[in-house]
Amino acid sequence: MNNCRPARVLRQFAATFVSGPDSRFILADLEESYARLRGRGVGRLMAGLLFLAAAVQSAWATRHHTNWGPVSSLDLRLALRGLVRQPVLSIVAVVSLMIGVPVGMLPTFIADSVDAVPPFDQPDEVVGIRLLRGETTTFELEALRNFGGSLASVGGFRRVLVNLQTDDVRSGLRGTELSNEALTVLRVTPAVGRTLQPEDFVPGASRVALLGHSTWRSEFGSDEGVVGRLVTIGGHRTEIVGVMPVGFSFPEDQQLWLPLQARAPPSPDGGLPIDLFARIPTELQPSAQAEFEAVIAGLRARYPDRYERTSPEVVPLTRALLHLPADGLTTSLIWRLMRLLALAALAIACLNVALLTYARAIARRAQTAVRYALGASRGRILGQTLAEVLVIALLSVGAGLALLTLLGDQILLRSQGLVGTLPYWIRPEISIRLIGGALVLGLGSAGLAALIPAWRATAVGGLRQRPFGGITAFMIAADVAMATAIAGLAFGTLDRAVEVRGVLDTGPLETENILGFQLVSSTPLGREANLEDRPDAARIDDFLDRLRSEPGVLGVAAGSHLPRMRHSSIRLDRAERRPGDPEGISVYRVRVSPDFLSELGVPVLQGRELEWADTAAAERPVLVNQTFVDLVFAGRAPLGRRIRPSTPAGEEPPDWRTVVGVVPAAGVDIIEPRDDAAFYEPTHPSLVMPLRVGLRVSGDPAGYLPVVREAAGLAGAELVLRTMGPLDTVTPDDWILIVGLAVGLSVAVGVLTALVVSGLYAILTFVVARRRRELGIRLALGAGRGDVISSVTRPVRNSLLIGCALGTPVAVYLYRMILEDPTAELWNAMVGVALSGLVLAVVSGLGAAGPVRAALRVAPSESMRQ
Amino acid sequence: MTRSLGEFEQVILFSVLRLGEEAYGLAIAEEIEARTGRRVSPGAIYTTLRRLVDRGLVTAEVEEDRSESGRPRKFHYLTPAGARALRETVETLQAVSEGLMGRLTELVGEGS
Repeated sequence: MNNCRPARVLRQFAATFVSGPDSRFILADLEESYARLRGRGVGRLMAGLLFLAAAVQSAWATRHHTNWGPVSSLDLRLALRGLVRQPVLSIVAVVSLMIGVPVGMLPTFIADSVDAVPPFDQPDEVVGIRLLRGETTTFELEALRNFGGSLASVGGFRRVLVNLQTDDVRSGLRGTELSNEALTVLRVTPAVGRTLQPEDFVPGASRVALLGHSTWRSEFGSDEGVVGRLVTIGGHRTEIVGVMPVGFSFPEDQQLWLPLQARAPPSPDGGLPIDLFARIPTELQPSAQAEFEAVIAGLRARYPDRYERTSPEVVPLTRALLHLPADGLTTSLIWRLMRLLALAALAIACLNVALLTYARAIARRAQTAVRYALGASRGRILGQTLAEVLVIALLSVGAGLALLTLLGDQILLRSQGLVGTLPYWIRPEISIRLIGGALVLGLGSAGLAALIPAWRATAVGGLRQRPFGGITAFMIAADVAMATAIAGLAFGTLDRAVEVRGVLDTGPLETENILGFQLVSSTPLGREANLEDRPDAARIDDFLDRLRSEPGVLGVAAGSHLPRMRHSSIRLDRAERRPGDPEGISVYRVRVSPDFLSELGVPVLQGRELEWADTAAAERPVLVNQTFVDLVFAGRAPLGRRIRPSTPAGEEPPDWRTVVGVVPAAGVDIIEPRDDAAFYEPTHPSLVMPLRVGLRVSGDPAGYLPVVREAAGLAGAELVLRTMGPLDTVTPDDWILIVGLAVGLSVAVGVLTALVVSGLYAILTFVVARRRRELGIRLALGAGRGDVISSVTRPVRNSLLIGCALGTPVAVYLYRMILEDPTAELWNAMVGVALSGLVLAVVSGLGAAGPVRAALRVAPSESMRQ
Repeated sequence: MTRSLGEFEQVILFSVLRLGEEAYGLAIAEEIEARTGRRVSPGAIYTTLRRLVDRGLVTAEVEEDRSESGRPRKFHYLTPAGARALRETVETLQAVSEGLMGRLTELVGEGS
């Protein structure tokens, strides 16, 4: 007999709802049924869903003593009929929860996805070994090997970017250099050919490589004769010795694995930066942590400067690669805040489901009265209302999970801009836990939200109660306030997105004539201070000179960042601080070849340009932009003043830099141009990796792509080109976020508005139906249209006005905050009031139009006959 | 005369009779599904069985260790009163339907 059991969350769910004297037998039968389904080959997901469905049916049957199953079919049929009869209300409720539940589950979805187990044998044993506030190198690798213990067989790797060149093709590939234990730790062997052998790792040995399966398929036509073939990788003749299995691309999306041929470094400074990992049985991982701490303690005594502030950790490999806390993503403050916001969004959705449930319940009060008269209990009537909510919640959860499935890939793809490339085994996962959580969240929150309104609306004698009480008034006012406030945020975000896109804050630059690309050298960026010792220097100089000599090329600028790209910011110290200088400044730092700005056509406003001699000058000259002068020096004379990057207390501060010139702002931060204070520091291009190059041309920059590729090829196979395109198409990730946010907020405003409209429609329809006779009499006595409209809308007018009054100042504040224009106070206020008025008009117009028209058409004679 | 049996109660009792020593919740549900094509939840079955036990038509016995998985099972057995009620139901049905199967078949054929 198959002893599979459903997941614990499902068993707990069933145990919560199935009650009665036979509950344990019912639960036992449900589990046995699950086990039999699994034994027949039914998947965990389907078997779990069937288990849940049977548990819900059993729970219902034990409460209502119904016979034939599905025992809730009558209630469900009535619920479905009720939903179909009020399609607008139903659709709005479903859409509201369909957005709220996935948003509420998004943090769990992300946490489940990034906590994916690596696809290796006994994956819990594979751990990352890292130094917090430090980096691991081949020096620590050697130290761990020499220490022995459980960390003796530790593997290491580092990511490289190389050109793979055959007779026919040259392509840049992401690869990994592995230490000689790495594949043993992973327990992965090639699908074709052989694995890496110890002799392959000896410095100076013949070079070999393992190929990725998809590259083998695309570049070599899956030819098994590739084993033994000689190709050029990173400028070296290399023999392909094997092909890795399908799907393997350790650690992220690599397609080449090369032996790391490095000698044991004599000191930490000589070590190559690598990531470390090991295979340690779970029960021995605590002692491995202690061993690592002991190793670092020993190194700390010998090299206090390097290891004093570091903290060793042994953590699951996925968390090490993603730089997550040791206890996982869910312990981080950011994740908790995200979860809070997500639950707040769900709460808003539930609030609106409550409003709609109330509206539906009071619209059926006549029917409810008849049912009471026929002997129905309040619980029975309440049950039907909750059955409707159950159907809505199930539809919403299903649609919401489907949406999450469709968008899961995109969500993880966008998150890579924030957390870096994800390990290849991380895929969007709709787990049983997520489905169970979504069901509990959706059903529970919708049920709770609907309970109070349904209870109130089904009260005996409810017809004598005012149909429009405090709760409804509160909900309508809250919805209108939120819609108005979010409209301010949405409008401001849209405004900002349009402003950024339409205005090229790149100063004097003509970015549409600049081709931007990234250059990576496969030669390691070591720590040699002497430029002549760097093999890259000559190759890069040669490459840049070739480009300069091309016809139509007006300038070649090389540096750490190009205009319009996302720049790195640092905190700054100033020498000779003067009264009025602002505190705590963060600025952008751009490391550039001395001719960077002149090659891009950016003039100097004050002082002088940078020169090649400045790269070695004692005073370390730098240029600053005008925004830097305004923000850091309060607009006062900058020439001759000294600055340097801030360092934490106790660390040796870097050398002072001296400002020798001022240039205009040139697209350092196009999202926040008012904050794009930057300084340009001269350096040789080979000391910047990756190197960004801007090719200023006369004509279409895209036409120069072949020129650039040819120049790189002639300069040497070690130079790998990446991400090429005209500079005016470069958009910082922040802009994409802003646009996404604007779209999302606009949708939220639309949904909220639709909710209020639906609620108003239902309530006013009831009011008109109930007061038909009175309205007929009024019209017969000559009441004007205005009087009738005022009378009908009185119950909701105050709520609408209060909602607008509350939402308007928030909308103004949010709009102002997004655009950050303190000089436009009047304009901001006008925008806020206009948005508020717009929301009010839409809500009133759409929600009240139907009932008001019905009220005006009441025939006095007909109403008198009733 | 004993109170008449509802349709679902009849189905349950026949299933208990047919399963003999193996008449517990899940087995009864599977028997009903196999014979009638209708899927019934364990909750509905146990609720009805409890009612039948109260009426003295069925007895129940819990056996903790009968299943291989160690899960508890509650087995049900038809009492003489239950057998009598079931037989009366069948005889009544046979009496009122005697000779009418052919006519029923004709009517079904006309309607299709």
